[in-house]
Amino acid sequence: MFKRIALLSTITSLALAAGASLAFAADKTLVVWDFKSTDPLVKPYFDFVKETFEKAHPGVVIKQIAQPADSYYTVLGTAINAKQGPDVALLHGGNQALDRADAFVPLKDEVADVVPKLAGLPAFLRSDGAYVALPLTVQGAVYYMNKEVLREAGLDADMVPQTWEDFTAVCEAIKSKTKASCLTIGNKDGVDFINVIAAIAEGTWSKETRAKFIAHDLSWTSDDMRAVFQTMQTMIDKGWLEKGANSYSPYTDAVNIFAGARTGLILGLISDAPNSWKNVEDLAGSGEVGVAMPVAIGQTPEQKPNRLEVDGGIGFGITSWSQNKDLAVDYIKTAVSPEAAAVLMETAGGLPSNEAVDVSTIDSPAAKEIIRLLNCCTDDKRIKSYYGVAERRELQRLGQLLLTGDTTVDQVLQSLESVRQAEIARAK
Amino acid sequence: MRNERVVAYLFVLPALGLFLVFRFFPLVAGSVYAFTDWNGIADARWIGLANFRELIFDPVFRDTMRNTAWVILSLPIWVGLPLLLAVFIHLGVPGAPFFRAAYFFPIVLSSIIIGTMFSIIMRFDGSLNQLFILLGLEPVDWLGDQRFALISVVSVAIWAHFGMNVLIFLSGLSAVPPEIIDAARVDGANLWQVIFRIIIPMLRPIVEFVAVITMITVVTSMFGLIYIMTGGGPGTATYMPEFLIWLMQGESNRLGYAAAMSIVLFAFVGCIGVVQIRMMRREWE
Repeated sequence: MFKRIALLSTITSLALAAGASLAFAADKTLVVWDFKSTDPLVKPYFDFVKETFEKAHPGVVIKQIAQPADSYYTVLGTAINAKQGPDVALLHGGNQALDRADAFVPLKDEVADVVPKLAGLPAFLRSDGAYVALPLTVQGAVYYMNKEVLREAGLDADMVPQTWEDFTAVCEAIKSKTKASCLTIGNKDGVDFINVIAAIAEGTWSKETRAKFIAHDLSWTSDDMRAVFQTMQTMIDKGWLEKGANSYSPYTDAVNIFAGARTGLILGLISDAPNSWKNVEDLAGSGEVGVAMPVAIGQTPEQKPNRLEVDGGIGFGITSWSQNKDLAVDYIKTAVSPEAAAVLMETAGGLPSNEAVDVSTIDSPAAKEIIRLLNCCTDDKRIKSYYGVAERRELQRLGQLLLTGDTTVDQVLQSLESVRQAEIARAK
Repeated sequence: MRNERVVAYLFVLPALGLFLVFRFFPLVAGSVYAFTDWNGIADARWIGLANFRELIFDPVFRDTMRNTAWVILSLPIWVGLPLLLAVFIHLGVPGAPFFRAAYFFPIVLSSIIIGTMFSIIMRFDGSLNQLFILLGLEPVDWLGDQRFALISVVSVAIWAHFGMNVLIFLSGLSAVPPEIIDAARVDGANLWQVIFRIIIPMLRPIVEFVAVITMITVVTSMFGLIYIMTGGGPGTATYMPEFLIWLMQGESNRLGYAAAMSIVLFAFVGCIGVVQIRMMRREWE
């Protein structure tokens, strides 16, 4: 009896093990890394892509892993070093993607059918004409203005500052007539300072200077660069900025300060972020949020009409070590498809890269204004996407000290130039 | 006898295997990478001592070592505070069981939770500054001003860790014979004399053990709090070597340089550890 039970259980165990291994053999797992899927507004998009892809590819499972946004490239760097981890990774456009281009599959012929429909591709364009990733969204930065604060300051709530003089008038009115600050920078990780510097640079620089910076040929100690930092220093000296910037997150604290009418303006993103129009308007109230492009500085708005810098915001790349490259290509095509992008637009306010998506269905006043600007006033490539990795980190550090008055513009620029020169030397 | 030895080796084998795979091999590999320009993608190139030369002139690395020195200088608080609290609990202050549990409580919280909690409390519009304003004091940018940021993070780290040291001291105190304390009291010793002339000298080996462990902890385990509370800022005010190593190997893809930093940190911690252990050994002998 005992022998029979033992035999039976052995056979059962073997059968179960065989079944399990067969099931294991049938399933393939595609690992996707991102820095957004835990955001409740963005999660439905990732769920939609997973569901659509798995339906079209029976036996393939998508394993979605959300990494922390503020250390994403450090964690991704670790994965790249180990050549382990994701098959597909979400990337920001510009240098964040281009600096890591060698770790990703160059995309060209395999994505030729979807490329013509996508905007923002230059942000992922390699020097050999292939792409590091396919963009999902277009991205840029605008000033969001709290109309309640503008009214309290005795200003026309629908006014839009176009020049540095307009901006000065707004900030001085807010400072003198309200308890609110003019502008809140959420600079806990140092990134918002970088964004504001980029917005000032966009309003200040000529086309040639801009091109020089993007090509990494503009010295940090040049007059053009100094002018940008002097403008920032003026904003600090005049007391326009909310105090405590270095302890505030740009995505939560700054947005809450804005929604609570404790500040007149924040520099927010135009798409799929907690500081973009959807969340900002949800918190401050529909119709209570104005939108302004970075202002023209030292020139007229007519001389500089295209001040909304836009490029591919986020996009999906395929890691060079992936064992499932064909599946990964299918995944990223699904992820940037009009159907998926429409879900992101609806739930998270993501402005799609895919031009087949109908954006006219958005009824938010702030979003409508952004879409109007996208059709009239854009400049391609965002300055903030073209800082070198080491320059960016140095700027994060020194920007915090400039805000607290612990360093000077000259010290910041000299230090950044040293870092740039070291980067150039290392590249050689 | 021979069999016993074989069995003993078998018992040691798993731990030895783990040590070799996860400690010794990475240490050797890291030591080799420290002499290369490996970026994790392209092949590593041998560059000799270039990474170590760069370290000497790297202002950010210098700042991390300065911060480390400041944190090590705070060691007497890390050790002294829990020692005093443990002594008071041992001497039977009212509510001692409650204090013992309360002091231990932060140990069960992860550094992420603690960091998030204190970020909310200590940010510029946080509850600590609200209290300051209520008291008519000027608010302070605890986490965003380089004069206060490191002190703030270290204070939170002390709060988070001191419960474990209290427990270690309590276990040491249980070995102090109560008759000696009673005899001292009969002889007219006051509370401070009992603490400083009897209890602490008897606890000396435990104090030294806690000092070594805590020193290693503060140099190598502040990452979670720094990451959540300040991200290393403002500037480099709260950068510690491990944080910089993490940035260099990941964000900057400079594995060779990060390996060189790791070797320097390893040597630094090793040297202090050896000095402390020698001091302890001398005492025991």
